[in-house]
Amino acid sequence: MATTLIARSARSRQVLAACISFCMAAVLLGSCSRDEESAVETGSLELTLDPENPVVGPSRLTLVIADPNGDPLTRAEVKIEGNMNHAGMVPVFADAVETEPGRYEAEIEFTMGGDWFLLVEAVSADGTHMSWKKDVWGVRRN
Amino acid sequence: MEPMRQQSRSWAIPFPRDILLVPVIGAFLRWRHSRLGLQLVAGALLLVLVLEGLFGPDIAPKNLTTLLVWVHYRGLLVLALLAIGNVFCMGCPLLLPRAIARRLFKPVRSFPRVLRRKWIGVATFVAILFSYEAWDLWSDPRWTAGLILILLGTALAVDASFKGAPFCKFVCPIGQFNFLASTMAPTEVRARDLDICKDCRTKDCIRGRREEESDKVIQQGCELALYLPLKEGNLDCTFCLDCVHACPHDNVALALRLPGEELVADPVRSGIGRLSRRKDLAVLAVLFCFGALLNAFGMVEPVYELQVALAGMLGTDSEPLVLAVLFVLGLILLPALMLGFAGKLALKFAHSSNRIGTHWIRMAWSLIPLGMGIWTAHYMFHFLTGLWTFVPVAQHLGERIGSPLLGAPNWGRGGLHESLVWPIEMGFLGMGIIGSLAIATRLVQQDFGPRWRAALTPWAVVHVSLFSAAVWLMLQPMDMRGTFL
Repeated sequence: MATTLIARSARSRQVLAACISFCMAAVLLGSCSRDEESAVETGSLELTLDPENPVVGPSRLTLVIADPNGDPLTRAEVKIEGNMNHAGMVPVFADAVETEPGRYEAEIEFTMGGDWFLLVEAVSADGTHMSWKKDVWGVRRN
Repeated sequence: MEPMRQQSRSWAIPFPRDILLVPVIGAFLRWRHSRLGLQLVAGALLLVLVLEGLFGPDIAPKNLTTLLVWVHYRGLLVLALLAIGNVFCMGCPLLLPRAIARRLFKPVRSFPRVLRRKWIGVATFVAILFSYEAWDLWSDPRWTAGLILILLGTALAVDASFKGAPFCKFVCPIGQFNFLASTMAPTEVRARDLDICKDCRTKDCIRGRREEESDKVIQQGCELALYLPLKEGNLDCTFCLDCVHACPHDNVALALRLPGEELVADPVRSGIGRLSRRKDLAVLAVLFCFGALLNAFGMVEPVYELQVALAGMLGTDSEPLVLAVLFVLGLILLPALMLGFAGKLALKFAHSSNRIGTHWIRMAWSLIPLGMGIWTAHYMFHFLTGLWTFVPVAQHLGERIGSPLLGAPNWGRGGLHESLVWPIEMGFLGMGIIGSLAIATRLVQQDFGPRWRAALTPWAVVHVSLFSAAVWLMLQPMDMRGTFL
């Protein structure tokens, strides 16, 4: 009986240790191998909003984009996706139009007050993909 | 042995009274492996959520884990609690690892007596609320998955170390929420006929069914120490239905009942004792209500202004510190002031010599319906406005793993418009205040006799004030959080 208990106790420690190791490994693995689908920043992006402190409703976006060499990114296809940082809201989308070399403009509608972020994706004429994530915190109600 | 409870409650609900007798559903619930079946389905989903949280997109709205956990799970949880009962504890997958571990060994130690109160549950409940606000759990898939793993690990560690189900009964913050909320459920696990229980010699509902020769347990009895003849209401009941399977007399029902009825009764409850003597449970009930307000308060713009003001006063830009102050104000000082004054005034108005401590504990239970109304209104906002958002997110997951089955993501799928959800929120709040006032009335009628109206007045002021605050909160434009410091 005692032997069985000791054996079971040792086995239980092994089970516990295995479970804890699995959890820790999963967390560590997760922290270093995430799917960073929006964090590829190969060029540079300057984003300005009008109004500067955005409110619910349409906002004018100006994007100044440079390629990895620092030159203005021209004739690119630029798409913008707006999301709230809380899950469960419908995202908003916009296509930006180039108004001068490397400078793009778009209008996006913030549909709710709170914290937003914009995913900007640019595809250059030679097919190079660039993407950025820009936070837009504190969109206020009118 | 405590005296056996008499059948005192009247049935006001027409047939069918016992869900276990309903065709198909009843047959499934009476199936011995029904709980395991639910747990395995939930466990498979949990595994997907953990993997998606750890390895999926780091963007909360595009990650199935943050979406399902913080939008759909919470919405379905409160709906299930109000419409059926504690079915989420019934199918809880957190217990699967411990079930596997207990096939390998049986813990022999009991949970320490000094810890057999809800104080750990109070701490874990507040910790979850605080972590949610302080570290933006709703917007972090990795930490949402981490939270699931922490709960899994804690359940395994606690229940692998001690007999019974101490994790569910004393530790699990979701369990404590579910226990309190299920007092508002329309069903309850109870004995069909107490006369049969009187003649029962084996007490299988709590001891478990045993093999005659070896005395080996072949069907678990109630692991939460709820002896069925003395069980009253849903507190501490996980709807595991072990008692249903263990009872040799087929004398257990999943009975329909009047929601909230158990809050006005104060018999000696098996595994709990008298509610009027449980300070810990009363504190949990107060936190349940004020925590609902605080959690909803975190969704509206005025909280940001208050946070900035507090940060200025404290001379800090540490958000956790400011939140800690906000929590102390909202979960300790405000309830202490409101309930403290109401209790003292009630005794004074009624010229009563009742003990103030007992009075507070009793009246704390009247906060449960309103608290449930606030939680439900808040969670319904997220759930209904984001009802169909899981479709494109699941399609996105399918796309990422190379499965064309679900098609390309259609990101335009949302839910109900805010203007349609608002009346539903008000409906839940309305039911909450009606329930709270009804329970407060019954409690003061029991305790103060003909002077009940005088005693009720200050408590009605408290309830109406909290209800007004909740309505004001729901009238505010719901922001999706803010990190303003």
